[in-house]
Amino acid sequence: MTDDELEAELQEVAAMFDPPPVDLVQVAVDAFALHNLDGELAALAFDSLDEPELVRGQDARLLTFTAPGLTIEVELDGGRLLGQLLPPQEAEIVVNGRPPVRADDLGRFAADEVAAGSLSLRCELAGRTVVTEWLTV
Amino acid sequence: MERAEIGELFTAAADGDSAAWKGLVEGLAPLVWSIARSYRLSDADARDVFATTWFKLVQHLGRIREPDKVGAWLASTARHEALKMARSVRPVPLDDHPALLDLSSAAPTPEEVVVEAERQEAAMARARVLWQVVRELSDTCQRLVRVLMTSPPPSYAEISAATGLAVGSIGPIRARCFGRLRTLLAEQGVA
Repeated sequence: MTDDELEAELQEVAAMFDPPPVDLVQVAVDAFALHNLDGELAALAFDSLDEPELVRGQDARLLTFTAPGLTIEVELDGGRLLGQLLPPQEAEIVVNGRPPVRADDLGRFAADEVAAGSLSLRCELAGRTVVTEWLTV
Repeated sequence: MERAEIGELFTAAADGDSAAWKGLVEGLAPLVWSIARSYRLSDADARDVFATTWFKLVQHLGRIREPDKVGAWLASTARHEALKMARSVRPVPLDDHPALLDLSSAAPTPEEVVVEAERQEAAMARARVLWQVVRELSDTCQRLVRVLMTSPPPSYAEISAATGLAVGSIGPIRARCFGRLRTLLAEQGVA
């Protein structure tokens, strides 16, 4: 048996034992409906999981997203999310499509019971909407 | 799925064609899933990495300049998410065993045993051994081999993005990993 034949057999084995879950593929198909909801994208600029040596011993996940003229800092500890908009400003923040939470005039916001999974914040600011890049938390 | 077709599907999806998006997801889901799996993540983590990867592609629909490379983009994104999950300290529920380990679920029921011809049973047993020995490979080999197990087969650029291996080193490492796999198979009495 050549390597190519072995590889072909392995492909059949993976399709048999571990195909992509059907319900999950449907989630990805359905995600297309979200593309019209996009605002400006805030890219992930810092993730403490990318810098394990900087944050060793710290359980909270620290994230920074940036868009032109806006920085969104997020700290996730367990299911507790604390956020800060810079420059500070009031806004409505939608966490994963849940009812919005308010960012106060210092730009601070919080959300509880943020489940492990995919996360994106939608920030309705004065005159603009900014969404953070999806990531897994 | 032909690679040229992926570029066309992506371009159509970026123009708002939901059927093209569905075709793209169905064509590349096995690749994205294989990457999530190749990092030995828990079931829940692998599922989240898969979902995040596709959500992120939706966000980037209008921002990817080279539609032909969307497979490599997905592979690279999935790898990055999987690496972070492998490093994170998310609590894993006790009942969340990776399906990879759960070979019992693939065991035939008594009814099936009666119905199945002996030849089919032998083929199933062989497939189960193959599946098991892949898990005994080193991390590097397992990551590469799990991605190579994707159907339709990924391109070299996609394999490179999925594994972090340079395109030029994929061939030699593949040969070494398959050699190791044959040794493990021989130890199990499988030719």
